[in-house]
Amino acid sequence: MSRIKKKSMSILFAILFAYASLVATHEGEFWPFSIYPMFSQAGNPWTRSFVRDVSDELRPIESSIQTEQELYGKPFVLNSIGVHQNDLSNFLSKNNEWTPTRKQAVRNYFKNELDTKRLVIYKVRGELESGKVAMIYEPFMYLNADTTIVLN
Amino acid sequence: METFFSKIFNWNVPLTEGKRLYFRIVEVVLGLQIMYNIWGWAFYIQDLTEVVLPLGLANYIDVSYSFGSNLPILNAAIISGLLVMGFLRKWRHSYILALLFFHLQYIARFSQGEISHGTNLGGIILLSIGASFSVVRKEEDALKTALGLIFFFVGLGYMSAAFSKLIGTGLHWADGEHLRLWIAERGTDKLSQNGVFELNILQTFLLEHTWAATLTLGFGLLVELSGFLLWFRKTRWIQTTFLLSMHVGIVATLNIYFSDYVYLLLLIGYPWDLLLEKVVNRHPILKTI
Repeated sequence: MSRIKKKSMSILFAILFAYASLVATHEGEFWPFSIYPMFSQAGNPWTRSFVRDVSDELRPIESSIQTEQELYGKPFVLNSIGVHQNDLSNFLSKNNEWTPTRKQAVRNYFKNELDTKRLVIYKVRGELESGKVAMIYEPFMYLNADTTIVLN
Repeated sequence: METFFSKIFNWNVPLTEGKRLYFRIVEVVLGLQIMYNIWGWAFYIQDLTEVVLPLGLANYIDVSYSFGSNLPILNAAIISGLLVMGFLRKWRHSYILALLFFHLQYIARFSQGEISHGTNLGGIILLSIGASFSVVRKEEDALKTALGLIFFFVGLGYMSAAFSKLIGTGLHWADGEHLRLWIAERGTDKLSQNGVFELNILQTFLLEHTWAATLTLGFGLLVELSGFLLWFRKTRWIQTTFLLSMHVGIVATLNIYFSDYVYLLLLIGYPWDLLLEKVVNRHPILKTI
């Protein structure tokens, strides 16, 4: 085997070994290596989030499952503050323990808004029920100028 | 075995001026794409405060050191400098070092819970080029090695995505009902991000006709499974066309645009070197690039 062939094959197998070892020991992800598991578990319920501006809301903010018509306030668009939906959504869904610093991290996303607005972050759950997508809306976090309340 | 890999690396095929120019274009496009990402991330990282999900090396080092500081900007400048040095052939290890700093920028940016795959393809291509230049001294051989590695690992990545789906769900992954659930999920995301979401014609059609949704998902799964067709020159352009169709389908049905993938696939998947060979022959000055 010529020199170039030996070198090419050595690099290929070295990268392949690194690829397999790193994804095997890091739950399928070690950038730039990945097993690309997105959308791999089809049919499973999902949980996302969205934000509502409740500055003019007269009802008391409570943690209760709502329908789309019962949502508090009006939509708050994340593009208006340059925050990525995936960041906020994953921050909420993958966080089990709400320490003061983590609450502050959420507040930090909205740092220029909270002096003038009251916001509620909803968790939205979607699941298949008899061929239809059922959506469940639940107020999860309330934020105003000086308060952060995890509602459930 | 050797014949199999010979078809991927084309060791015995002489490197034409057209292919050399083509490779330079790949380097430029890749470099610009990386710079676009790392500089955008640099300013976003400054506003972060907390690591929620450590990825990659962030499992071993605390990346919060870079939050609220100018370090991400410094890192972006270092990566940019290394990419330029690599392109100018000033130091043969500069591309592979750029990959390491790119990794650090990625794990700081994606420490908030999201696992982004948008730059994985660019990372794999940079790794292929960087490893080849670091190990193979003769430029002609390094280019052949790099291109072979790119085709091999990009193809492997798509196959891996297909196997993840088959292992994670099984053959019924392609059931059109699943698309219904994902469209609703993406609708929630778009509504939150932009304030509006309306179903397009294709989404409406797929939601009304489950058989069509099943066919769409089945096509995507089959195309990913055929990732190995990228390995061979004769089938590469066909597989690239199918992959691009799949990515267009993902945009139309799920509003997810893997722009980096589309541009890089367009570049690496078609035999542009044949066209460039004719251009170089007409304009020999291009040989100096």
